[in-house]
Amino acid sequence: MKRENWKRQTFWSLPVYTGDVSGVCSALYELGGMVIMHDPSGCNSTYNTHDEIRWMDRESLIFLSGLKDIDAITGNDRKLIDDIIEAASVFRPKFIAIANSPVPWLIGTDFRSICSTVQQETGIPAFHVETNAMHDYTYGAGHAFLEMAKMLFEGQNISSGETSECYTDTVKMGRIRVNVLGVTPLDFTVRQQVQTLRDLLAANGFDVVSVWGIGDDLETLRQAASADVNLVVSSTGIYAAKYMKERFGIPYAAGVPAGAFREALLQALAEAAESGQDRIPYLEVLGHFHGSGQVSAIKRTYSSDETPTGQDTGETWEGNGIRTEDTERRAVCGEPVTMGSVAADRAIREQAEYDIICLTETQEGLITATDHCPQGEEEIRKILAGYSDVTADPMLEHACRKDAVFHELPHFAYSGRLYLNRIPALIR
Amino acid sequence: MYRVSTGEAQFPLPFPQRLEYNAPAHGTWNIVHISMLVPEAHSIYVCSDNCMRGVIMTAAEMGCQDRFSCVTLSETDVMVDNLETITIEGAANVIDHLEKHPPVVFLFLVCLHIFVSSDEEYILKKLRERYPDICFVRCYMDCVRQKTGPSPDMKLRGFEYEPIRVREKVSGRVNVLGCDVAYASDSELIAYLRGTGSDVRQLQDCRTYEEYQRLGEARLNICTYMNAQDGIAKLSQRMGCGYLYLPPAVDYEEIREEYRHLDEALRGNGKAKVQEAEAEHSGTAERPDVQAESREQWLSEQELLCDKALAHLKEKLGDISVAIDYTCHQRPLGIAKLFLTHGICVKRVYLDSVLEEEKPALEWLKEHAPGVELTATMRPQMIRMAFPEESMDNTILALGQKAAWFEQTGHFVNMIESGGLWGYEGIRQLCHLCEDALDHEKNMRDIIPRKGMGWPSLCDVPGGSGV
Repeated sequence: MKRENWKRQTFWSLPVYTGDVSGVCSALYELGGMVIMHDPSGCNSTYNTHDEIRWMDRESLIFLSGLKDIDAITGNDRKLIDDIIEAASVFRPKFIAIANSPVPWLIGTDFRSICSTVQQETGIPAFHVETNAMHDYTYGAGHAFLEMAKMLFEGQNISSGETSECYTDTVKMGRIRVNVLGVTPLDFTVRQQVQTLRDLLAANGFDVVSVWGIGDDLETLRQAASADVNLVVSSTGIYAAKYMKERFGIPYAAGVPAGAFREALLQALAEAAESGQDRIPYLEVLGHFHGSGQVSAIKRTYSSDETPTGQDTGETWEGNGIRTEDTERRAVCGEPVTMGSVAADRAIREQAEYDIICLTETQEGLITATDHCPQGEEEIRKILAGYSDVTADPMLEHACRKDAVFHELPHFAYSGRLYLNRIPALIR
Repeated sequence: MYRVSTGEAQFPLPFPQRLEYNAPAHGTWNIVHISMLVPEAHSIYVCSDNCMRGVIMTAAEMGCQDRFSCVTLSETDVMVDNLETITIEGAANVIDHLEKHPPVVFLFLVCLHIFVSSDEEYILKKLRERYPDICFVRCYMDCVRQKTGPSPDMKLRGFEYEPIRVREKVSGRVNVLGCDVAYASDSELIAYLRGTGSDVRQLQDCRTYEEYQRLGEARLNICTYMNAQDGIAKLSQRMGCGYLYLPPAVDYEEIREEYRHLDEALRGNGKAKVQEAEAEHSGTAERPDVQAESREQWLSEQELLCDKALAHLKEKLGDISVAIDYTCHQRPLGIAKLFLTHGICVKRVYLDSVLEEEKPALEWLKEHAPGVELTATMRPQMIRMAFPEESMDNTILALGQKAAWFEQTGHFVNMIESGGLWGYEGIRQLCHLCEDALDHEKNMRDIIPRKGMGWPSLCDVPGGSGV
């Protein structure tokens, strides 16, 4: 075991984020499919309690397999297959997705074969989302969107050249077709925001082809390959965005049009559509204030290859660039795309430097080397101790310096239902 | 199959165990709530993220985050050494960051520990060596074993008493244990025991660790909750004191039988084999409210009072029928029988299995009311969208949160685990609660998503402003 790695896995007073299995359920919730958590039931059945706000009004076909020890020990996959087929015959879902939990992962359950058998015997598309309950929701929801994209688009022969012509045509016509990727209530808890976002895009020369996660059905998502550009509004959308870039040449821009950051994001989105280059405009804004110049002059294009990442290098927190000498330091803390956008908004309005403290797992290309990615409560507290002004979920307040100015921004994927009615709409 | 008539129902599993649906009714307690009853104890869960989320948020929503910690597991941990190092060092890291050492740490191991064959004895030995001032109790959140053995909550109901040290017995001391819902001082069981001169203690009364330790001074442990039987029987054996299982029966003859057992236990010479009950506890005839009565007269009077309450409820219900769920009371079929024998229409009972102690009630229903419906709560067909036409049924009274959810009614008895009701007074209280539920519609959507009835609920629930 890596030296003292347990410190990065210990939380004596802070919670963990919503997990990967719940992320899968959240991402696929509104698409008319059936999602199976292959799990004993008990632990992961709490998905609909703490990680899902839609259940009371609109249940989805999300079930647990109720895995028993004897079936795991004997490798009785047939029970899972039969149980899925029975339920599928009742509900006739549009697709079947299976998410995995620790025990089936440990024993190496062959989900590819299970899905293949289910698909053969039901005639319904079936796929596996590679979770094991050891990752956070950004990984789970992200891979759910990715697998959904593969299910929809495998076999479609749209070359990047054709797509390029498509978006060139539409750009010429003055309208840009856009998909919005990574929209789940885990990050977009106030549902009205989705409509606000649609209206905002429409008012600024964009036609929304599809919104992945809230509001649109499977048939609408099937049109996504015809878009000119993808708007990634949370890190849960980045996996599908990269897939669509690779498969169809559709570029993406990441960010949430929060406050003063809105113009920079919309500009970057349009530029990405035109140039075919990916953009992370909140990093550009934050980089600007860490350097010099005006926001309006930001032209640099970041591709995912160029953008330094904060992925786990195995270093402990001491090597993570902390600057304790600066007493007027500001940070936003949480999921990188949302909080990066919040930071960009603040930076523009206050003409000040902001750092991102990324607490979620999907980071690659979405943060810079100067941002922090602490793991475990000890690292989180030590990083936060370097900041005099922090914007984060209220559950993190007690981990900050006592003299720090704290701005609460409840995040459903972190504090769950605790501050549900205090979650603000970031898009107005 | 998700519905079956009692006439055709199989015992103990009326429904096949296939994919499972989870209704959004969460008033019952889970292992976090149960462990928090031990004063000053700290819980540490060693678990993967997604499995951890529910227990973490349970602790946070009940305002007990300062008594809960966790260590997450990664793929690497599983591969390197069967989870021993991460469990020991993670727990130690938690303890080292606490303001003070708790007297007890409940260390929760999970399915993965079982499947990689973690050396649990080694883990505990190392922690006990490092922190000799702390009593470490091994607990489990091992859901993968719950269908083939005791569930995690059943096991915890034994583990939660493990730190109690055997003490010198105190004259007249009786513990009433097992049920999550505390019995009120005027409940029939507590009042009866006090009438015999007993000094009654419940776990819920303990505010300090020392008060908790005083549970070890009892001469008799009474368990009232089915899932706690094994744990409290073991505690009693270890303490060398008497043990009695007195569930909240709703059958007159069974209640009589329970009183017979209780008297025998208090006398120390009956079926319950109470080892050290005292002679002075034999004076049940001296109980104030039965002073002038013979035992038989008192029991008959109580039964007549119950009949009267049930008749009043029947009249009040009129054409309204009743649906009962298993989370409301551990005897849902018993209540169905009680109601039916008093002319009250029972439409259906929500359950997924039938307890051994409910077998006689099921047999009675098979013979006398074979049309009463048993409905599963976990079968996929129970998803609301499967039967949207059945919404907001105001012609039904629900007993329990799950029944309220499935029937979509605000007229429900909001109760879990028999609600601290016991004996004849318990039946009358149940009738009163039913009438109150008829008179006063509750906000079902605000009540049932809240976890752990009886604990603070510091959360907002979906449907609030703006969400």
